[in-house]
Amino acid sequence: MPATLALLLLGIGYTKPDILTSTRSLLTDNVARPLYWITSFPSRAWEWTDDIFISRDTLQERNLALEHENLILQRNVLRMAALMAENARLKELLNSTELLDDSALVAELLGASPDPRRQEILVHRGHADGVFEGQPVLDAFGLVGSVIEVSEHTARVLLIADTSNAVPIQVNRNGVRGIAEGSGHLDELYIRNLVPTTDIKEGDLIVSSGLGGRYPPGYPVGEVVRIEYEGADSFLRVVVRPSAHLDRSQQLLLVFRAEAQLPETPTPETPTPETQAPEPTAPETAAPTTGTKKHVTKP
Amino acid sequence: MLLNPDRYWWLMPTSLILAFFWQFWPLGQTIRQFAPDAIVMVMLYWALRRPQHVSSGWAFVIGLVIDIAEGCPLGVHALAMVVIVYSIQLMNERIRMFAIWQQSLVVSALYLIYLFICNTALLLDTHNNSKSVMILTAISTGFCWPACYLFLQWLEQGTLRGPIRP
Repeated sequence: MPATLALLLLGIGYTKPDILTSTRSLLTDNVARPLYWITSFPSRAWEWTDDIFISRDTLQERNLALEHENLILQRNVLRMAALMAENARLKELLNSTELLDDSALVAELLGASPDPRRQEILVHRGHADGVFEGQPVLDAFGLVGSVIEVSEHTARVLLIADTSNAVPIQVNRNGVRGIAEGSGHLDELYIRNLVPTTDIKEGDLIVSSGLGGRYPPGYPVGEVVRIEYEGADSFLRVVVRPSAHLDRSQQLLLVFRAEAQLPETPTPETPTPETQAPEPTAPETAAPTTGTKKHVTKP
Repeated sequence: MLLNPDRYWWLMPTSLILAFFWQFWPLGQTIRQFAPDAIVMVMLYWALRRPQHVSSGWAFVIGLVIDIAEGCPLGVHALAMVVIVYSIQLMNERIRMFAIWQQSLVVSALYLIYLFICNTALLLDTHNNSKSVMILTAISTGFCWPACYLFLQWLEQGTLRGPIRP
């Protein structure tokens, strides 16, 4: 009897997933959330004792380090403001849409799926905070993934390393485009089917290109660690190490894209879909790590 | 000497909660592939020791909780758990007579069936990572079964005798 029920659930889940969506989100909120909360209790207790019994010296040291870091970041922000203004002006000259700033919401990590088949995490934000399906997620170092399931107070995030995920990317150095697929391992992404003459080197920074509209452009995705080329193959396989700390980050950022970026395209005269855009690769005035990236200008 | 089972009604839920603790402990994916599946071990222990208390309905509920927590399509682990708990109930009398290492082999085989059902049910799912077959988990689950059995038996009855033969 329970076996029939399980089979029935499976069948419904695969053929008509919409029926189960509300049940699923309800169960995720009421079963998975407390479960992850309880099972993460020991580590939280450890953190708590760590916080309580921390010495004054350590705190002062950390404060000093943070102040220094803050100063450096402040400087970067100052420079970024100027660069963004310049960028906006240049884009106006090119008659393209203006670069709009994204806003973000900080989310706490609730737990990671223990199943090695799926690279997913659960975060502590949901419908109630305005999270929506398909929302991009970042951490302090780069792109983490996107939201695939939202409940009232939790959201499930598919990591970029999952085999079912693919991120449209470009090389920061010269704007070569590609698609980074997840490998199923947290420390590797693959860019497949690149022509051997492609200008890509070990150590290149890979950023999201924003094509496809799911991920915002210009966020660091990873760094090229290896370029594989088998003699029999006529294509390259580039191995990228994600720059986001997929297995360590506790705080994540849910990005809300600035609304006007996609809808407000100023009616292109030429209907050729960006085949003529060979990335006007602006010279690298911006430091590549600040995240200020020259966007692909859309006609 | 068998103690009154009603005095130990709390042991079953507690051990299951501890098993969930272990299973959802953030270990990292590489270590997780070698780690035994505690939930399956505990479910099998109770299905073996107290078949009158662990029905396949409970197995369904526990499997469903795993599904929800892992984010699988609903029913994947539920189906697998129901099948292995039901089959250990069918063979209950026989397996209770086995020596503990023979039980280990049975547990490993049952875990392989569990994996097979999960993987088959997940074939249609998009997040299928063929690289991690998780066979190692079956081996380590069988390997850790004696420890799990003796520990739970010690908690339940205060002895470390292993399977009791009549």
